[in-house]
Amino acid sequence: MNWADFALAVVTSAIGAVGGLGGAVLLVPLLVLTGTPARSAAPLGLVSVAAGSTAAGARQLKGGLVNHRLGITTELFASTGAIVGALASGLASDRFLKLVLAAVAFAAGVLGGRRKGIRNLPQPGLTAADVGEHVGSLSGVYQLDDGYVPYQATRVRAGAVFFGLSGLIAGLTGASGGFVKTPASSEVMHVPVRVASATTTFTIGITSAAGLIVFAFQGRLDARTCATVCAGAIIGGNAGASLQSRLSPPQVRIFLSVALIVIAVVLAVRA
Amino acid sequence: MSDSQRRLDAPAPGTQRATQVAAVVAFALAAVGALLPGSVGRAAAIAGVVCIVAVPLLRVLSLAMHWLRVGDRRYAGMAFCLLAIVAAGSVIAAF
Repeated sequence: MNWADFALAVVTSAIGAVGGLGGAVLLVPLLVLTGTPARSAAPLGLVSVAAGSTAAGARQLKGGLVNHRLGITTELFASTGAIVGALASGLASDRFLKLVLAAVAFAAGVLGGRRKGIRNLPQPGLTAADVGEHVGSLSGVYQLDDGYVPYQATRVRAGAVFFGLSGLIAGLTGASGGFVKTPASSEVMHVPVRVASATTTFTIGITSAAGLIVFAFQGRLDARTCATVCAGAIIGGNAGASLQSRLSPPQVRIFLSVALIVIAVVLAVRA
Repeated sequence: MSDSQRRLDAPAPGTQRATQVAAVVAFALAAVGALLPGSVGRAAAIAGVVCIVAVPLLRVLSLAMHWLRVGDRRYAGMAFCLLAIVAAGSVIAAF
């Protein structure tokens, strides 16, 4: 067992679960920096995302934070983008892809960190019995401290463009597109950041599963190394989900912005 | 907002428990696969990876069936479309 890979998987998956990023966007560059070939690092990134998503799933379901209808709706565009991106990946240079990733992550980090305060406020009269998502719409209620906050996803078409783009980036680079999905849900569709993060953690598991099936067909999965990363990512995903439910939306947003800017710098240096 | 839009929906009963059990099983298999040498360890490692690939896709299938049961055909259809897209992508990549 490679303990360095295990430790990296724990730390990056925890960060991924807190911010709704998916750990791969951090793990893949760090694995490459520590000597793993990029061709081998990409599947390991997807393993960490899928495992972290599975680990965080139960806790986020308990808190009523995931809006599944929003997740499935947006994942349609992201998955389509990912397939197009994967097919087109042979046309772009590695340096170009890294620079695109760095620019997108930096822009998302800066834009996400600029907005202050909480857009969706608790509404009197709502109780714990109202928490959840609504049938036939992209709306719901979630608990914030002692209050209950209603929300409704808006500008879905504009959000769909960003989700398609996130899928395209994921397909092109092999990293999870969670670092685009969460800001797009929060800043474009006006979904509360905690709901956006939890929903993204759910959807990146779907994207990663699809990618891993492709890598398996290509014979690019090393079972032992995947198992090491998987075990670490489940521990990290659990820790991250626990932290996510205890932090306030502004704290999550600041954490997310800092993580995105760090990712941008790492990617730009690698390019 | 109409009454239909306000109708509250929760995940299908047992989803949370099933997800929790799946995470524990995947962790156990992955840990055994990472630590144990030989064919048993390798089989456990493969099973762990299969587990984390299957869980999110089964969750989408479970959501689709649940939404059909509560009469939310629009989102049930979207969930089935998503599974079809994932399947199509895998087939394209395989060939």
